Amino acid sequence: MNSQPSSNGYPHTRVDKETGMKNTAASVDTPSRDPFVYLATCKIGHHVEVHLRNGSVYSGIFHAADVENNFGIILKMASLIREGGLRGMKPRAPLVSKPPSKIFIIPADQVVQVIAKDLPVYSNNVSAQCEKPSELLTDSSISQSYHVDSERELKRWVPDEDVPECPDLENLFDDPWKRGWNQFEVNETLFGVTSTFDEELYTTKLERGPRTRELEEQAVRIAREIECENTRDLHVAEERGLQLSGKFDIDEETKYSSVCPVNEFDDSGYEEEEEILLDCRNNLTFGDSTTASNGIKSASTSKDIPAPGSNESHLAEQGNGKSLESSHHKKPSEESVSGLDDTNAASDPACVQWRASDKQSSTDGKLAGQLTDRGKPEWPGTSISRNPQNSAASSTSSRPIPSPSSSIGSYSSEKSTLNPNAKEFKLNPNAKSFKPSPTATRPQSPAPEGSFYYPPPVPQMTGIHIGYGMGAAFPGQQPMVYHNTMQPGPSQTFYPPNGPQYHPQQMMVGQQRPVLFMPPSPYQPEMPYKGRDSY
Amino acid sequence: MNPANATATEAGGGDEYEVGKTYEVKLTTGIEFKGIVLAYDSDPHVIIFHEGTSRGNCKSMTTRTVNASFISKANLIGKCKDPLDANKKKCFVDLNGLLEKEAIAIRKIESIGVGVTAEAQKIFDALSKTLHVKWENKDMVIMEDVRICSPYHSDFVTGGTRAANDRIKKVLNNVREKLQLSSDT
Repeated sequence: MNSQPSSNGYPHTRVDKETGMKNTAASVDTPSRDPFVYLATCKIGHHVEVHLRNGSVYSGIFHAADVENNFGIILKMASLIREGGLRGMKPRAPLVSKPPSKIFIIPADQVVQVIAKDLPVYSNNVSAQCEKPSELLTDSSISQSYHVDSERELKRWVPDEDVPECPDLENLFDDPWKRGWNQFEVNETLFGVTSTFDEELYTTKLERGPRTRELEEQAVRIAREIECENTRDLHVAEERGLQLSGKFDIDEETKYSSVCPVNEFDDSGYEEEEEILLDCRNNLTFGDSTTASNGIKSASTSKDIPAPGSNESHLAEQGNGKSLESSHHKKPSEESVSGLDDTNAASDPACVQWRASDKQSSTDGKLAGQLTDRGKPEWPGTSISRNPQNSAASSTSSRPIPSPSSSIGSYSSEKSTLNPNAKEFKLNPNAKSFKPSPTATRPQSPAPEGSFYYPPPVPQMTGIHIGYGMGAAFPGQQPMVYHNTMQPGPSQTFYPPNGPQYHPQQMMVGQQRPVLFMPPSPYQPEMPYKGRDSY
Repeated sequence: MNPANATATEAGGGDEYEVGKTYEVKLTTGIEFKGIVLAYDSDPHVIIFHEGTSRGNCKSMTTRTVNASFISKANLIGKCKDPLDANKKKCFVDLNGLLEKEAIAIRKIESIGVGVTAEAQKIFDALSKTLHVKWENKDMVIMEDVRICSPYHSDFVTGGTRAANDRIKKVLNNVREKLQLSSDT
């Protein structure tokens, strides 16, 4: 059998036979093969009958057709249905005596015709499974439109043509005056709306005067310092553009959504901050011991709105936000503390410095509670230098406070409410004790926790021998809470030796009372002083 | 094949067989049919006919791919436009689906035993619903382990592990019961 394409009658030059299935015919005579390709493809998997030249008919599964060349057919599992060579019309008995041929190739010239019965033809969105499924189909395969886009490579969007007037999104948060865009003007132009916006309604009034430039420079400098500060917080670092962690492969989930475990450093820092915060809050609210004389004054002034002075702009760096929530800073460096020295030139109550005020905001109402990162540096110094006599008992000062010396040193150069003439506290075991009387004046608020004032004890005690130490006459030495067993009256009162001595910060009503000054007892209660009436 | 060739030649190259023309065709083998020309190619001279005289909007058609050299006679009986709607719609082919279809068809044919009784075939079909069964000549082979020989009783189950064997026996009995076949056959 020669397999030449004998069907071809005329010497047709094959121009584009090799151009592949999807060719658009180059020759005029040869129409596009597309319909052939399409129909042949449709037949894949379909049962077809192939009539051969010799009359045999084979049935099988259409596998391939040589569309490009001569339409030879390949069948799978083909079986002879009807024998050829016999002229009679033999009934088609299924011949199962012979297993079907797995692959059956029929050369083109043998093919008379190929019949594909009920061939499904696909239009646009018809699923391929339109015929009755012979196998189980999953829901998704049934419902799926066959024209499914698999995942495609995503490309970054690029604008077609940049409108030059369009403000760049990245610069959106730049300062308005930088952008050259004045919304108010535009509104007025477009809609005729006059604006009543006054910046000073919303923020601190800026001091504009001869010192404006200087103040601005200071503010900028401080702002720069803040922004360049080291931070351990990932988010803050990212905002500032700092590459915080060395690992570059932190995934987005870690960066933006998971909760970061607090590491050691932060814990300790937090602790200290917290205590210092408490300290300062108390000091703010309650005044402090050194300025007892003007303690009231300072307490009250801390709540007042100080007169706007040139000091306000010094405080530019003190942002809002409690320090508790702020990112965990390292303990303030010395230079930052000293940086405040110049700026805190004028001020009156030191409390003013704690106002969280800067150029942009005024938070006068929130004075007491506000502590800022920048404010922190002063606190250690504050609590120490303000309460020198409390160092023995102050719980906070017993903890290591960073750079206390520097704080103190720098602090001394600042003007504050401290009484510069106050003597440093020195323990005098022979000093007279202080006995608070029920009618004695008291400051408006109870004494701060940290400022335990331990008056020097009286040396003599009538009738009772006291020494510096324990005597048998005294009751047990278990630590106990101080309870006032004093009877009103001038009689001498015996104070339990172990109890902590709570004494308000008023002047003693001069009574000599036997008081034994105890060295710091092991039990340091943190109870705030509740006044004379609470036992 | 001269007459056929002559016919084809006379019928012309692209003139005669045009897409859309309806012909009554008679082949040299004696087969006659009517169909609309779906595609035509002069070089290997193949014509694909859509069987039937009218092109309905059906989802399926019967096509005949005819080797034009075997056409003895072709009478033009009509004409219609664009039988394949090729210009209007895009023709999609789900290749994956077709390949699956082919695989399924092959598997199906393979499941037909050669020279086995119809009963045996029924048993085979029932078993293949839950087990992986193959024909091996006239034996059923399950999971390439257990073999069931003719006449496919539980006595003729051989091979495999004890557990598998027992299980197949059980299943076979159930199948037979369901098919209501007597155990004699």
